[in-house]
Amino acid sequence: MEFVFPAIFWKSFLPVPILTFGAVLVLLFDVFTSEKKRQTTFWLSIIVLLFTLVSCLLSEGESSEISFGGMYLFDGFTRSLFVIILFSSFIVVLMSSVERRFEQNSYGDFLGLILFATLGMMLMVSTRNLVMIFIALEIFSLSLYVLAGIFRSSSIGNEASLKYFLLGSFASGFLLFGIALIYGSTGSTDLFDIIKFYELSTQKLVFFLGLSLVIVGLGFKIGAFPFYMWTPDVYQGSPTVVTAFMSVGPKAAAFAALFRILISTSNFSGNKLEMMFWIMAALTMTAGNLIAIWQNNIKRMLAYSSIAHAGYLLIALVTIKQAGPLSTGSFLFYLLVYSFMNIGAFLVVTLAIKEDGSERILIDDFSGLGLNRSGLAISMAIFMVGLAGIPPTGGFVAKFYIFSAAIKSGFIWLSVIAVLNSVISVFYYFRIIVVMYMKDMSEDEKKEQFRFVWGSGLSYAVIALVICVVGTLGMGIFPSFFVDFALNSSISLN
Amino acid sequence: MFPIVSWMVFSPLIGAFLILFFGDKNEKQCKRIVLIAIISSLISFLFSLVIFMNFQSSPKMQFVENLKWIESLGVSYRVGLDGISFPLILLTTFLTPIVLLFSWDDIKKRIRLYYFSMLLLETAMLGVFVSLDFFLFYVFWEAMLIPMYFIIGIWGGKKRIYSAMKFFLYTMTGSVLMLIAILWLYFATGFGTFNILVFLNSPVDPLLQTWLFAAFAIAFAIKVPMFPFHTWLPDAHVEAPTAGSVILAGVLLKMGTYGFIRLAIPLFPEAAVEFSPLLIFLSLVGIIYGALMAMVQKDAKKLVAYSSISHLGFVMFGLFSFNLLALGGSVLQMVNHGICSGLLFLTVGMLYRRRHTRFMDDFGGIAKVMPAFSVFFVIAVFSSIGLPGLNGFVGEFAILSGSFQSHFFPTLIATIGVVLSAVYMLPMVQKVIFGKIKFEANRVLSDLNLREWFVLVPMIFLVFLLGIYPKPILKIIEPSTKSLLLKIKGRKLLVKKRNIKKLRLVISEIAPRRGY
Repeated sequence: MEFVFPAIFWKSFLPVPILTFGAVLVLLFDVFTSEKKRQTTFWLSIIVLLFTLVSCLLSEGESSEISFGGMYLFDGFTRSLFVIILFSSFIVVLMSSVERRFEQNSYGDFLGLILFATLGMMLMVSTRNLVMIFIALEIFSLSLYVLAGIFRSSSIGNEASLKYFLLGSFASGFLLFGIALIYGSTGSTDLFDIIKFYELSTQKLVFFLGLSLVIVGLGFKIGAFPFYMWTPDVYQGSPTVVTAFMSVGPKAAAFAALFRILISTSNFSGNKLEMMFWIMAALTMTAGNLIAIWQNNIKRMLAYSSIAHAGYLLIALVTIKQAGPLSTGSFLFYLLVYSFMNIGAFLVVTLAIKEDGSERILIDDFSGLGLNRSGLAISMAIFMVGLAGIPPTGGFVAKFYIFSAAIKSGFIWLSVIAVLNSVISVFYYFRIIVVMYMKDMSEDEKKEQFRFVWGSGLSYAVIALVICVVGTLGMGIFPSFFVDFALNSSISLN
Repeated sequence: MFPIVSWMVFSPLIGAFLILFFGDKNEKQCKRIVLIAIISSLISFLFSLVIFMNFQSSPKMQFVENLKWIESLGVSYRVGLDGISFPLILLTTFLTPIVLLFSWDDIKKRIRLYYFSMLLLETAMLGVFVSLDFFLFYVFWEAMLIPMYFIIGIWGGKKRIYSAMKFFLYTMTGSVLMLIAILWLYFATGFGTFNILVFLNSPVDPLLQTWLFAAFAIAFAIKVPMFPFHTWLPDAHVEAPTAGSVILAGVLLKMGTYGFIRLAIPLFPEAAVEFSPLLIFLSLVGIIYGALMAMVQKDAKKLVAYSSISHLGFVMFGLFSFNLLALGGSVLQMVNHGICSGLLFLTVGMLYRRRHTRFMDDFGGIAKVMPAFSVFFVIAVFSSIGLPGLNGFVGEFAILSGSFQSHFFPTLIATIGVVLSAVYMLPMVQKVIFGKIKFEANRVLSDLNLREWFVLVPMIFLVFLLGIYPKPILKIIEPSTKSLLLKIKGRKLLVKKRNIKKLRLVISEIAPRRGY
């Protein structure tokens, strides 16, 4: 038998090697330099991310290019997700410059791990092969396990890391077992081949068992009902920078895999999967929103809010069959706006440290922020309004798109549940606004004056904050360009 | 062409952003901020006056502007005005500078944020009235809530946070259902555009109408507020600062009735006719219930708030009796109620400013110490009762005499509401203005200052003008209401002629399938 080397489209593949070598470079650089070179590592990883971004913007996303026999697939969908994932990593790196708690050399490790996790997510969104999905998932998951506990002396950080690791390994096990069952029943791990071989398969039940296990594994990563239990603890315990990172990229990656799996299996699974995701979406957002109301810890609240947003994103997933490009378009646009708003909210949490350097943990700690630090407070208010989906922020336009996709596909009741959920969400998002602006302040809080120290890493985080605010508002007022970009990012398998 | 409508809508917004660049640390800086705010809202008022001069008496949309926005979904920036929206626009641009002036003495903390929110609110309110695109309409409709939420929540009374949240949640629940209905309409009709005019000119299939009308009607009924959805109103009105209450009662409540007359009724006329008995019933309940509740209030502001429920009941009743006279009267009554409830809130606010109480029993004999104030107060009350010669009379009379032709018994009940309005309003005058001075604190109250004269005189002027010579504004309203009514009547005939079987076929294709 003659071996045919599979085609490789180097131009579209370029972002991956750039990021891989960049990440290795950052790690090596950190090993051979002293603590004082912290700035250089920071700039190096910024440059690596920018290069990767440029290289993926240069490659055209109009037609899909398949390299390595389906292991690497680059289409419009991939390209848009690359941009979103790289953007979120970029903001997180900027944000990390303000964090003072890194021990000795752990800042370099941190940046290296962020880059490797980014690489894993990028690989996951650009493949149609189940094995590749698993490998990519492990790359970013392992990085995230470490990142969650990067502050070794923090006990809740260690708890978060361990919890995330244990539960995450279970999920990976489910995923792997599911892939094995699918392989066993169809004889392939390539989604494109699975469609072809499905008809010949004699073990259809095994196939569906495998498929549901895969969905369990991925559902864990997006924090869908009922696999969301780890989210609040991990979000609370991890350093805020890592939490911000965790709330966007992994979701994007797991959703992309779900999109590809659902598209390829929708021909023969009938409405069953659609119905399952329908129920999952409704329960996810309802559970997330209802539990978020009772939270007093800001990070836990944002964790439940991110569960709720996973629920809205699941709506886009449900509509993939009927709404087509509107479905993927609304998903991408929502994800982009969500990354602005959510990372922005975590940025405010990081920047709003008290004078003694401790974080404001409880929602009530934000009291008086509106008077003492009006810039931060107004940004937070904008993010909260955006997350609640109220115009004129991008959050509204994003929800508008998701609901259009749902209604176009005839899911009236699902969209009614979703809009009522967004009313519920107002309740807890606005609690922060109430605390910041409306509650009467105690005498101590009135006295508290913040001295803004430019430089010392703070300026980069402020730049990141400005980007997030402008993004959140800009997407609401002039969404046209990004909407078209998202709508044209078609998803393909072959 | 000069985009005068956009300038009118966005000049307060420009002022709002200008304000952000000024500090509010000392008195001088604060004065500067107030001046900028008032000037930018006056500019908006001037633009609306220019429009008034050039307004043609025709049912067509005028001063239409159209810009591209999100083409891929058929969303555009499309604004314009006609005889139904323009009176309300005038009301908004007129009231805002007045309440800003009134706030000068009222608001003492976070001046910058306050005037910023007020101007933002004005832009959003004007935006709702001028937008001719569903997306744009919805953006303004919801964006309006945020500044109002801040105004109630920061500068309100003791229960402000609860009231602000209640206000927000109630209104948002209605409006998100409307969003679903808008999207459903968009996909079911398949026009590929959110242009409201396109929808107004092409009939929606009657079988689709019921649910869509229900969704729109709930959103607007909460805003009006109609009887079972009214509970947010007393809380919000009482807790809001005076300026907030004036805007809330004067303009925000009109958004609900405006929504009915601009969207819900003409888009779904068959469903509107079908639902009209229910809506007339609810508005009658509102008229009587609001009046009865007002009767037992001790707090003057609460009394005025409940009287709003009663008065808005008249407007709704006029809308759903589908009669030309009543319809015109309703639009006029919207403006009139804006003026007289605004006036009442302002006068009550002036009392509160002096005595820090709103309980009517704490006053008495004010006429002796504040003669000028008392004259204005009595005029405001009489205008609210509907005394002939004042503005309140014209609208109410038109509504009742119009609906009398088609709805005999409901009109009878509504008339009781007119009588009741005297029953709850006059005791307030008696308790506050007349009688002996019971409390020493009331003996030293100062009469109106110059700013308060400037606030009250223009309002009183309008009360008389609209009461004695309402023709200029009726000339604006009438062509639009006439064409609206013709459209509704015409559509009724159209439906009867249609082949129902064919209709069902069309529906089964375009109507979203019943899903899980």
